[in-house]
Amino acid sequence: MEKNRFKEIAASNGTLVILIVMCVLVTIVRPAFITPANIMSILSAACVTGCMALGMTFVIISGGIDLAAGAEVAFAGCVGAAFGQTAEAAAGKVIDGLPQLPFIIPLVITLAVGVLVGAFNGFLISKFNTPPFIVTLGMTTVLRGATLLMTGGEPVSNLTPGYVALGSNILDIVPVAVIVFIILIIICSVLIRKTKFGKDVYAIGSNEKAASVSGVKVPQRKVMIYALAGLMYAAAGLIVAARATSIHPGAAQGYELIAIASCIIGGASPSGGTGTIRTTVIGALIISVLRNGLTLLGIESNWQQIAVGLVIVFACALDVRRNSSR
Amino acid sequence: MAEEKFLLEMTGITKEFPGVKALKGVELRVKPGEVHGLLGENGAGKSTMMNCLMGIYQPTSGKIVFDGVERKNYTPKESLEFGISMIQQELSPMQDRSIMANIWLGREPVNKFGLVNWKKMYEDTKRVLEIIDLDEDPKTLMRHLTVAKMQMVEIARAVSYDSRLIIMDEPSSAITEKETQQLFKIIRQLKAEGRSIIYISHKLDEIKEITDRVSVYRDGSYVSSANTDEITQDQIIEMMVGRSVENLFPKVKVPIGDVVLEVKDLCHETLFRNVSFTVRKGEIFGLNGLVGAGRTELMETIFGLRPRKSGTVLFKGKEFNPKCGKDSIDAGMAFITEDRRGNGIFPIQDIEFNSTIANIDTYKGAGRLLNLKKMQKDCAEYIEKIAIKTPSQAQLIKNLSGGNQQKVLVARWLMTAPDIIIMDEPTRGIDVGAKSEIHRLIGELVKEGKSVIMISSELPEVMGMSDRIMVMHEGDMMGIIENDETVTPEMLMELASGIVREEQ
Repeated sequence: MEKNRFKEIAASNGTLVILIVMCVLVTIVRPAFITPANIMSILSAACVTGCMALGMTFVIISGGIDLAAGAEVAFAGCVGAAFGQTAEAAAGKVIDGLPQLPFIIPLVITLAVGVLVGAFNGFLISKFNTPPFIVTLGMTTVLRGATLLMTGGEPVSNLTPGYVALGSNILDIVPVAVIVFIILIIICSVLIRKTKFGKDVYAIGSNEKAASVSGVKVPQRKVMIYALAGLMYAAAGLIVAARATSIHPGAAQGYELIAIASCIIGGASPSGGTGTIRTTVIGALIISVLRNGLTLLGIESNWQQIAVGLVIVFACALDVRRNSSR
Repeated sequence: MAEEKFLLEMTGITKEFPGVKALKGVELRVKPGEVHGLLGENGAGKSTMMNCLMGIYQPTSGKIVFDGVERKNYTPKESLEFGISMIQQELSPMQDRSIMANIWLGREPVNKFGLVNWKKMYEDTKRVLEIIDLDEDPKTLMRHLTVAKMQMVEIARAVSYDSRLIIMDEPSSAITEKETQQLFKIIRQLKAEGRSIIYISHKLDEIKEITDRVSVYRDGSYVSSANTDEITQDQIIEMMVGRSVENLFPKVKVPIGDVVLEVKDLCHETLFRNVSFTVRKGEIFGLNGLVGAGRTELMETIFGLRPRKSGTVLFKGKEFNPKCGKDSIDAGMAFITEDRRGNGIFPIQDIEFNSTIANIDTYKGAGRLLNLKKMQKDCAEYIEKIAIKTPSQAQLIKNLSGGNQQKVLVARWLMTAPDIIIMDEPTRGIDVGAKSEIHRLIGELVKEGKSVIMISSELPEVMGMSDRIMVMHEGDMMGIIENDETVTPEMLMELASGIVREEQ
């Protein structure tokens, strides 16, 4: 009886068990893994793609996919940063002669750009009934091009103290970005579990036609889903800019794949209708722990990439098995 | 007795799913050249048993002997090869491929280069379609066929397999009476060739007409078998439900009130024209017609799921022009759709989600957050109230039987506290027990002063339940008649088939 119960818990928290086992194994081989500094570095490394994965979770549960996530991070990040350069940064200034503005302005602009771009994606998807895959694939190129045009291919640097603060650590140990990440996790989690919007997202992902019969305004919801995702990508863009006090137009290249992978490893089904914020965060942490652990073990980054890729494939295979055994 | 030969013998079949024992030592014996009726309420285990036979599920224990050989651990493909094929109740053809590609999927004829021989495939398909009298070009895409014709293609496919045993899981649930007679003709033809048919249906008159022998299951157990001509319909029902059902159509007389819904000259671009009718408080308004009459499309238009071309709708005295389902729900209209899997259930969500989704606005509390506790409570209340059979409300709806899924959908719409409820084929593919419960519910609804529009192809149901009946034929309104003693099935059939038109 006790054993069965343990099995049940393990089965319903499979990804959490994997995460814990990974942590234990790495700790045995490299005790340095479990130091506070290293744990913070794992969390910190998970922040950017983690924020993206939060937004991506809504998209994937609704049965969609967002390949433009990485490009949105760079676009929103760069547009915002253009308003966040110091006055004396004469060379490399995107908007000539702009005085130094309070941090709230680039902050709001970054987030607004993310929301607008996301809403536009959602609009294209629902208005013309185009597959999200195609729309966001196209938008990736559009956004990358726009970012390069705007910045002239140069990084947007010399950012104001607000950015510096966002990229710093509290008490020299806890990164501000991690705090932001945790707050966003809580907000997203409440949104998906405890609001009508969240239920609508699940409804659209599990049966779109039934959703519209049952009173879900599907087109409007899709715009909101991609807009919310855009907001999360913009937050990731802010963190990217803050960390280096500079953001490159080619930033976050390929990050959308890590974000998607976090959702899938966590157990969200690519065909929609399932997934939670909790499991996505676990998925994001699994990738981060894997990278960190491999680094501690002295395995070079090219091999790490292969390892992460294999984990994603393995997770998808697991997802298929999980669904067929039902 | 000893030399009695069986084509199929399944004995002591059990099947366990996590938390549920779906089959408890069930048996089935089918003779060569026999049409064997399989009966039982939803959840009795018929579908599970057939899935075990087809190799889709592996039985937990039990023995399957087919054609004198014990069969173990086989796949659906192997069962097709040794001579069993099945026509599923819920069709899932490849919509964007042709009839012939669907029929010969996985065994396409090839020429000497190993490439698909389209010409032979075309000819072979033509031949098979001729056998079942389906007048369609083999190159027609499945998407362009009606549900009825898709089903005929499935039957053609089973015929093309040359199977010794063909399982038909409620083949008549989506087709017209004429097509059912066509189906019976084919069944008799197959039987004459020495093939056996397992015929699953809830329609007892069909069972009486076509089967030689019946087996009855109840709650995952085997009840008994009998020769069809030695048993009455009432006895069959009693075996199925374990009690006698006195009144299939418990229509209660309730006072009819004022007009609630008034539809005037409603037209759709192509699907129907100039439809006008009124529905009053406490009334059951029956809507009859053949497949393709435009009944579902008419209701979808009224509900705001399709654009209308012209015409007006007054609901509770006000101009009603909903742009989406939400507008109609807010106004007090509910719509239980016909296609449960297509636009009814959210298969991978639980019962709680499925029952509360249309009513979710009312659970908004402080800060627009949902009152999850209240959702749980309401769901539990409805499970109790309309007797949904499930281990818990966290059960995924796709794991329930068809009848219980339908009850969850009824719960979903009752929770929205509607004034008028549109029910599109509310008892299609549902067993006698669940059916009479749905009918009882409809009776209760009108007693509470609600109005019901009931689309139904089943004449006994329409005639048993309705106050008035509107009949449609290919998008035209053929007439509205008071449902009194003078109404006969023949009258309705004549209207539905477009032979006569009621004078306005």
